[in-house]
Amino acid sequence: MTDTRYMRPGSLDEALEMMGEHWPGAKLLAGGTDLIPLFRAARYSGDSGSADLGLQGGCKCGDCRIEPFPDVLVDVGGLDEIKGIRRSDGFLEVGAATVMADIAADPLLNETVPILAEAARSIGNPLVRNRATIGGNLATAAPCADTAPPLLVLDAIVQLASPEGRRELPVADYFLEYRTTSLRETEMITGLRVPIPPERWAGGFEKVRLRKSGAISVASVAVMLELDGATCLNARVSLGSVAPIPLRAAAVEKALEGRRIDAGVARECSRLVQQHISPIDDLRGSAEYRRWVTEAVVARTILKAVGIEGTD
Amino acid sequence: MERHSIAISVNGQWMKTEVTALDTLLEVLRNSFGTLDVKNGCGQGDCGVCTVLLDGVAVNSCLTLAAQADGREVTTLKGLGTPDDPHPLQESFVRHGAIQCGFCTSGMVLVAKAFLDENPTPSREEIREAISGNLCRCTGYKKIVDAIEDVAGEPGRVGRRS
Repeated sequence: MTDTRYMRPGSLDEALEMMGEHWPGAKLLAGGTDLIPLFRAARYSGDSGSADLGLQGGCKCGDCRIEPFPDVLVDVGGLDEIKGIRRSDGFLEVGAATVMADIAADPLLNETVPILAEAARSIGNPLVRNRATIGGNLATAAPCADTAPPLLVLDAIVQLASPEGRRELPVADYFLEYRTTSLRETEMITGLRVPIPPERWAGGFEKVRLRKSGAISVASVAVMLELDGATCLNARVSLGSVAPIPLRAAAVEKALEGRRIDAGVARECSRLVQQHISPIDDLRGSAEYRRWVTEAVVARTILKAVGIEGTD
Repeated sequence: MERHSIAISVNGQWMKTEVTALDTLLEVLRNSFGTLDVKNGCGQGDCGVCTVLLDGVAVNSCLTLAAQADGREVTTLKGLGTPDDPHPLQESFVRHGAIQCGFCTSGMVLVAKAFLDENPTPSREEIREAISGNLCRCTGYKKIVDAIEDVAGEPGRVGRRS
């Protein structure tokens, strides 16, 4: 059916070696929650039942995003080196192969960066969260990757490794265009460094979805504000599912700075979000609805960060 | 075609077979090992009927490659109890009539088992959240939540057998 070979490296170095040796035929696998259904769709898309019928190049329908089968699958999901959550100086280090369930439940993470825990909790369903990894969420680079908005407003740093060496990148520089990232050939995400926000910073995360569980976001918003009472000193606002990539809304951020936040100010500043977004029509919502709901939810999330809820 | 030899402990018994890299755990359980209590539904992690416990953690076997389970322990519904010696959750599902067509039941019971192992005294809302990756098109969920709630909070009962 396919000639794909499954490989399970025993260490990160071994994984990188495999990537280097088999590139461009090598593909990383971690939780597999995104990749495995794509393989399945490709395997079953032949119309005559003949296994090799054109599938090696992936699905030809142009609609579904089916991967060509790789020569080699490098399974990094079990690598302890890139798993787990720990505090290091002023940072929280989250391994790329840490699953969403662990991110959602981790006490330290919930205490220091609760918006990231909340985003992880909003992904998929409990079964999916037991497999899906945060590195995979970023590597897939879907516009609706729910951990991206919180990581953007937390100014998180993506840690990357390849056979050539290691480097770090602000998450804002990671997403380039639709499903295109700064990842170089043979490079993989090994973890995230998330600066632990100082005392005066407060945050909020909201995900608009059609049902409580197993829902892909219609729009998602993350906010971090540095506050002196109700006065906003610094603001970071980010959005998911309303543009080709998850992004920051600089105009909203600038407008919030120096303002005393109340419902009117939040509403006024949130209008500026429109210039940043370019939503599409899809099964989850129309572009028009997304524009309307994004603005409303930006205002709501700003108020949530300040501690004013339910007034919009 | 590239084949991989794998060994998986299925309900305590080590089973060996050969798989291709892209065979899912679900396919191997059903087609190679005859573990038909694991059901095949949506194939993409939406419905939960293919739930198994992988080293005690509830996962979708359709979203797991068989090769990824190599050397690990898989528990299916039959690993929890038999008709002669059912698990308390299985008894409770029967007692509460939390079964109609039965297609979701295997996944529901396994998810409930893993969940109660972690959280033995959950609220009703927490139970609802815990089974939110498992679709039931018959019952409207009330009786399933009732069945799980009935077993919750009884130390020693849930953890039995694995």
